[in-house]
Amino acid sequence: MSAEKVAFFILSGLTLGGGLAILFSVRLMRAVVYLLVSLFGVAGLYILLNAEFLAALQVLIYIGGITILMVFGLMLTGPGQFVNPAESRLKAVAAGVSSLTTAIVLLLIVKKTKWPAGTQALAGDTTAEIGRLLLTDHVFAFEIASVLLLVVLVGVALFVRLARDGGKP
Amino acid sequence: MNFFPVGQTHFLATSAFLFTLGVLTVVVRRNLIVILMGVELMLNAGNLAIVAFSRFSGHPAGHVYVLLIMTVAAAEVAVGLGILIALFRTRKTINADEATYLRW
Repeated sequence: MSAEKVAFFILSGLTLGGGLAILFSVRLMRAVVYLLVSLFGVAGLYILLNAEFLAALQVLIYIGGITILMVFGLMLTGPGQFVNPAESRLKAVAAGVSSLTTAIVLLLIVKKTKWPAGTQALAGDTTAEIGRLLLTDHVFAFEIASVLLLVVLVGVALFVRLARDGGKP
Repeated sequence: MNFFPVGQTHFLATSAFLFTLGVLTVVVRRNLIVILMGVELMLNAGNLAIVAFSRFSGHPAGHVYVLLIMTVAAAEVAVGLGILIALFRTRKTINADEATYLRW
């Protein structure tokens, strides 16, 4: 077993284990912690894939930002919500069967397809290349993303204020 | 069984499983915060697949896409939690089955 194999299996186990734990978690605060574990596993997989910059972003945005937002959401929606609403057992079984089928089909696709081999695998530091691409080929998407963030910032503030004032602007 | 070396297939398989877990979480759980978590899992699965493709085909453009997807995901969670808190203030619930404002 090379070090890469071991790392892959540990990180992949963390990722999938975290996802499973979210699915079966009863206490929501723990579910947030499981989400954190899962996202951390994905960050590790990014490092295995030579995407150090994305791994850093994953830790910053997802682990540092989104999970904290989730905790805030959990806290602001009061105690009673820490227990789970009842789930329909029949629906759960149906969902389990259909998503198992989806997983099997996806795995078969992954296994059977002959993925085109690229000229060469990405290696070394890609951060500089990402920066260059962001401001040349993908500058339009970059600008759209900044506008989107502005809209979200204003929109959410307005939205929550409307709810506080009982729906009247 | 010869699994190795760790290649594209392994990352794609992990991504497929993670996506399925996300779907299952969204479909089965009824708490809106947990549903948001499921959406995050799905987005992460997609990102993982994109980064794997990018790594093994030698195109750094995939990293840019993932960067933009992360931005949109963060925005989506902010909006989602905003809606959730608005819902909680007006209806005192975060159960997806009771959020029926738009249904008649």
